[in-house]
Amino acid sequence: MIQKGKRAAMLLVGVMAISAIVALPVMAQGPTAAGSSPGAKALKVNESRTINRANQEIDRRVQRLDALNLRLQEVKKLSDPERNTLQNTVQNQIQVLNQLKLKIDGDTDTTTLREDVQSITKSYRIYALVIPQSALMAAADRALAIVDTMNSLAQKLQERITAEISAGKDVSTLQTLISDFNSKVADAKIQAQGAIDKVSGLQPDNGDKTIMDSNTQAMKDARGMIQKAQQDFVAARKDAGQMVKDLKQMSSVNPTSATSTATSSQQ
Amino acid sequence: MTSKSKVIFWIIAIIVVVGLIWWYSQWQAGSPAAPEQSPYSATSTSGTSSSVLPQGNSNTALDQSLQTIDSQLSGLSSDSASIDQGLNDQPIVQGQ
Repeated sequence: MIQKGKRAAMLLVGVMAISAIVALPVMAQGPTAAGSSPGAKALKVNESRTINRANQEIDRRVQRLDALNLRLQEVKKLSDPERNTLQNTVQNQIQVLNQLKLKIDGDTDTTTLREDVQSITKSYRIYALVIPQSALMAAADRALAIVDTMNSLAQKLQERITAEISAGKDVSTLQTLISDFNSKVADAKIQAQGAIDKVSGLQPDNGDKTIMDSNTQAMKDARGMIQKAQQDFVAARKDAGQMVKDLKQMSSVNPTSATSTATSSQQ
Repeated sequence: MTSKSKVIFWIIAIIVVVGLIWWYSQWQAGSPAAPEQSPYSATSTSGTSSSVLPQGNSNTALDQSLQTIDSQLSGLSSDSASIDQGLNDQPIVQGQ
């Protein structure tokens, strides 16, 4: 009797467990249309997954484009046409993606959803160009701004060196350093401008592999130029640091040369 | 509990566990992923206002000038990271 009771209890637990396994996926999906078949349920789950994946990609692109749009508002050295073209392209992409997201969220049939999702894939070629192209232009713009800053610093350093010459000091080391400094800054300017020239005219490949390969190579070349400009700046910064250190030592011997403010240097 | 009952019990228990694992994996597949990190931030994109050097060529002015340049170079590093991220971008593959 007790054994029969135990057996019945275990069977009851088993039936409840199996019912839970069947019920949980249905509960996770939410309410479904009356009379929906297992095939229709699977389709709905699949559509939901497709929409989620599409939204993930759209959100990812929009987030990057928004950040880039903010960055482009800070560029100062690019020409107006270059800056405006980039900003318009980025803002247009953001708008298109947001509209596409609304459309996908509202799609009611699988065929339309499939077409909209395909357009995400097709539009990737534009995004894959716009993001690195704009990033390269922004970096080159900043590099040109650094060139101006460093040239202003060079003017200050030269004034101090001239003062030390007047004081009868040996400035041969300083002159070597400032010559190298100016040389590095000049090369950085060439590299930065070269990067702009490489990528400013690039157009989306629209699926053309030849154009895609050409665009990719141009952007990699421009990336190399930015890296070279960075190396030039690092070397110039090192020269500048040494010059300031040497000038401080000289001025500690002859205090009058450290307070020279004959000419203001301002960018 | 008889041995036969024990077997039935464990079979049902395993089915329940497998079912829960399957359900959880389906639920995770439909969850949105965390947003991607962007290299740009409001504080890393120092604009041209920080590129104005202090007046004069005193030791203090030279030190401040070097700090300004260091700040700009840091911004350029941030820009470089963004370039690399853009060149190495990978889309989320769409199923359809």
